[in-house]
Amino acid sequence: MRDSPLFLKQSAMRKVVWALGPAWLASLFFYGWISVFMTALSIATCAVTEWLFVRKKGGRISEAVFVTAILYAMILPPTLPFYMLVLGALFAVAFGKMAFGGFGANVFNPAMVGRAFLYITFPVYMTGRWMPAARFSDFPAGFTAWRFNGMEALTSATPIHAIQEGAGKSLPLLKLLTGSINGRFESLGQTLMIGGGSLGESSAVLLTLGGLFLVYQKVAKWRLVLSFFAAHVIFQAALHCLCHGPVQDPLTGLLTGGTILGGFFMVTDPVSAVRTEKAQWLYGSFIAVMAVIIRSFSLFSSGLMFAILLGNMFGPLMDLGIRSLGKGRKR
Amino acid sequence: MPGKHFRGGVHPREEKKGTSHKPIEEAPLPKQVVIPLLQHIGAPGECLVQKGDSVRTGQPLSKPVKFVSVPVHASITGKVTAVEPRPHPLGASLLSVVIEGDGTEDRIETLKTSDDWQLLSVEEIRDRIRDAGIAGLGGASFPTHVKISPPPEKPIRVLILNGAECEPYLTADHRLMLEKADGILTGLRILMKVLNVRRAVIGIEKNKPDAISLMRSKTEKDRTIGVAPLHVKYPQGGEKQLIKAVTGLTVPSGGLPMDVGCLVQNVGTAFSIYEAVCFRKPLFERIVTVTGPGVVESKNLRVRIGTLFSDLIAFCGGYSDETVKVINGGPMMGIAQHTDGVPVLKGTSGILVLDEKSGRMKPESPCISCARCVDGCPMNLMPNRIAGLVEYGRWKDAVGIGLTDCIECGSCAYICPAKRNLVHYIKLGKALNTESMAADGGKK
Repeated sequence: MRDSPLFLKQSAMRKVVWALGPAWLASLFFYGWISVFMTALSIATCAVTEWLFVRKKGGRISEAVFVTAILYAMILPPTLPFYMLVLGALFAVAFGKMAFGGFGANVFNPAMVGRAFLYITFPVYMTGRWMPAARFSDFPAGFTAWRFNGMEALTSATPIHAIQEGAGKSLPLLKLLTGSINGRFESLGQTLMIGGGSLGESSAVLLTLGGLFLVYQKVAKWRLVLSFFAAHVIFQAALHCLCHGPVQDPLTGLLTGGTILGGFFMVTDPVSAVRTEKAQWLYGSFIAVMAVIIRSFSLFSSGLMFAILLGNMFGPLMDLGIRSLGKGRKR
Repeated sequence: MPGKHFRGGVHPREEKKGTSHKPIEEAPLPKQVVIPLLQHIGAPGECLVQKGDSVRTGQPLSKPVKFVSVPVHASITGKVTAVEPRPHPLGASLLSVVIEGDGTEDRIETLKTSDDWQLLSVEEIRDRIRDAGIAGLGGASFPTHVKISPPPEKPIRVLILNGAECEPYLTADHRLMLEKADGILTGLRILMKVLNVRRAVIGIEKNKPDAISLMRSKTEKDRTIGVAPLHVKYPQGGEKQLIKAVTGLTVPSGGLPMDVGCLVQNVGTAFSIYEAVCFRKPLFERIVTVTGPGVVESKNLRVRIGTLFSDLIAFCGGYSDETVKVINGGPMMGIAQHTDGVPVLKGTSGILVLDEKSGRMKPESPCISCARCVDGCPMNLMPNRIAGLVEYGRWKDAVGIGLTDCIECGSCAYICPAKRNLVHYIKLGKALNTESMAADGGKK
């Protein structure tokens, strides 16, 4: 393959794009072509933003920007106005990545930076307006619709919200696994809808498939994945037993709130994650524990997002700290 | 059973099939040899000959002036035609003795004795090893008589014979083990006597089952010598990695194998020690694998030191059409040459000739921070961070995180998906560090 003058070839990044494919296709089925459009818009914004930064130096756009853009689109609500999406994408690449010196030098995961920016700037759109995902009986559902809304719902709650409001019974685990998340539940005398959450985070099965592919290809480090999920389950189980009220059971916690997507694709982002073996165990568990705490006890339901940003921040310290500990013992 | 191994490392394609079954061939006597006075780590000797002198095969050409130094010897019979700087395979040009052969073979007197090494004193053995000019044949070429003179407070408990030969393509040690097993074992026993050790282990990678079984059968009755089959992983033959794999001991940062009571010698060195002690034969020839897709016929050759690469490649049928690169050593640690007019040294285990396809360098791209190099580093370093610091001129900071511990095995650069020239940066950093230390020393 010849090298393109505009793009920097990065095979590891291509593999991430492939791994995201199945879950992304599922979002097309669940929500309609709006998913394709949002992804395309995100890619275009991110690529142009990076190009604006690298053009003067004659540099090329890293293929990693596609990963950022697709991941970013997949963690947004399907009802988000497009100008917000563009703003967030701009912010993600300009301030999350290029401000630090471009590819490989960023401290934070750019997709997460973009989402956090939107989350704080437009909280209503980022937390309150969800769409139920298509049922399998609706086939072809989103494949033939611009915006598929089988439940005729205007707004609805994400699964994580719905469960907090007492919708546990109307939300079978099977729905969480496949990603076809929808339904109604009663709360305070009102009938509410259950929404599918962000574009691409709903199908646990397909995301796991893609994630395992990445681990197998050694693009994602298995220590990060294992430590994250193990710590997530163990810590949430412990908290669930200790303080029953706000903490969900570990299985539901695993299948909601973007945990699968985050664990496989965000925690393992090579640029913002830690490098050394021992620090990887610490990093994965740290993010998991923070995610469970924030999600259970804080105002924000996006616990994982903040946990990952916190992990990004402390990652370099973990790398250096653990190394110097080891040296201290030897000498 | 995976065999014994160490942390980190990589699995390059072995590429040994081309030569591993080919017996060692005698290379034709070269018409001309170029013998650099410096072929080892340490100080070069003082030149004993001048232009116009007649020399005989095996005659010393230099005299060591310091302890860490060994002489070099004439490898053919003929006339000295020049004593001048010539291209050296490790870079730059160094003072070399050029000998024009007269086609005859008139060796210096050799003692036709066998087994009398047991009657020799330890000092006498050491002197014979030094006088024969033996420096490690594995590649680093550290003077052997220095290595086998550890200070009394650091006794050696285990002697490890390195038959791992983990570099892809190379088969010189493999063939030597198959064809000269008895000589190697005698060399090993001589070393055991000198060092007064009762335990020796021969480490051989499991991709050489014939060598393992041969060594096993030869040492069956000797309970002091063991054979350790090693996991096939690069750099299994690195000194510190081999010690870790065989004994489980870790050589401390900045330390030497003797700090953990170990000493490693290459099988080729052991064989040369046998020849030097039993026959007083100086090190003027060695086994070299000439191989790679860029050469017509790959061979294992017994070669006179000082033979030019071009002569050996011509003997192997010459270059194929698309040859682009000639490397002194293997693909992982070897050094690409700017000319094929460089000579074989005591530490030259192979000449690798690459064609357009295998020798192509991919363009370097920014670090992905994927940490594959950290996983692959057999020394537990962070090559990405070290190289990054050197790249920005911060090599002094790089020293703090282990720059000088790097063994330059090339595992990181091999595994890097962004094709970063990590070892280039690290070598540059080391050179800058050495330079600045020398400058600092000068001030004081």
